[in-house]
Amino acid sequence: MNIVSGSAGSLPAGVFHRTGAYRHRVFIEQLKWELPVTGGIEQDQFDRPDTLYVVAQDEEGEVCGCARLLPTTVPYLLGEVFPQLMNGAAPPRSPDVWELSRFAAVDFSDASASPLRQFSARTAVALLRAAIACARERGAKRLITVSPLGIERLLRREGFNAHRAGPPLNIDGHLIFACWIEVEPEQVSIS
Amino acid sequence: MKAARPTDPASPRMTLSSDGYIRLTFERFLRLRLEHLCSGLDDSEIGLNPGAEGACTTTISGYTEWVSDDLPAQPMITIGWSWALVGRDGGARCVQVDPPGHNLMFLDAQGRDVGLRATTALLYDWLERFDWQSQVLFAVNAQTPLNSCQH
Repeated sequence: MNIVSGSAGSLPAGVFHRTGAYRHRVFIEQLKWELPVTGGIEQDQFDRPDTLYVVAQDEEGEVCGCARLLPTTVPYLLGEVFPQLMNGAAPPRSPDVWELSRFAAVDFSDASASPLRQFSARTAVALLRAAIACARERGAKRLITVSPLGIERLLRREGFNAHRAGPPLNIDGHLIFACWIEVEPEQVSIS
Repeated sequence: MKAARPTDPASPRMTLSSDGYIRLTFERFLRLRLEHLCSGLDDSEIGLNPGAEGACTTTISGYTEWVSDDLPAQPMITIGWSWALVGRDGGARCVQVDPPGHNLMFLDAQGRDVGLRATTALLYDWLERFDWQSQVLFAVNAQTPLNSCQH
């Protein structure tokens, strides 16, 4: 597995387009979310030139996981669309806090993978660690996510330092919640 | 953990800290009432049982969500956990799977955070004594899990 990160313009050729098609397959075709589509690509108003993407690809170059990172100092998904998930608090707006959204880790080339199990453990953990590292490099100390409740199991089982921002809500038939993930300082190994 | 305004352990009103936690002592938490928010089944996980040719096994599992009962006041305490239906003592029983997810940070007698891990461990033990199974089975049987998840 290979994980790359960058903006739409700086990702390797074709990766941004394939990520949009992968998001369409996961979020629209399989999870039945109602999201904007442009030419078979799932894309919304938060997919901007400055948005960061973290993308996992298998040995064949097929996208098998993705995540989207946005600073909370500019318009972002939770702040604009889902502030009600914050349990009465104002959505964060700080250079220390980045938003993680559109997180998925379904390997469609794995015949045993179920799209409804949105988070194949090995890919999901690697992708999440890469997304945290990418945000840390840009000054993030915490991530805030808008996610299906299923991601909470992954976070707990894999020992991420994370907790709910508020109760889950039923939005369009899906249980969604906001979650804080602490960006731990990078561990330095001393030899 | 960054500094946050801790909730006064003796204060009758819960407040949300800037880091998203509701802080209180475990003793105070035990005096609160929780309300069932919603429960439901996971997507079916059916697999072949290698020990029985032609047979298959089905794992029945799901989720359940609870909140503090002073709805719709905010902030709300939220606790949710996964469960599975298992055979036990000749019958079927719901048991919790994995530690719960929540927005709590318990305080010690000096008003200091006990930490996320210790808070979760206390909640995990508390679940052993909390009678949640009947509500879950009622909700699942009624097949209205998500419809009730509005607050």
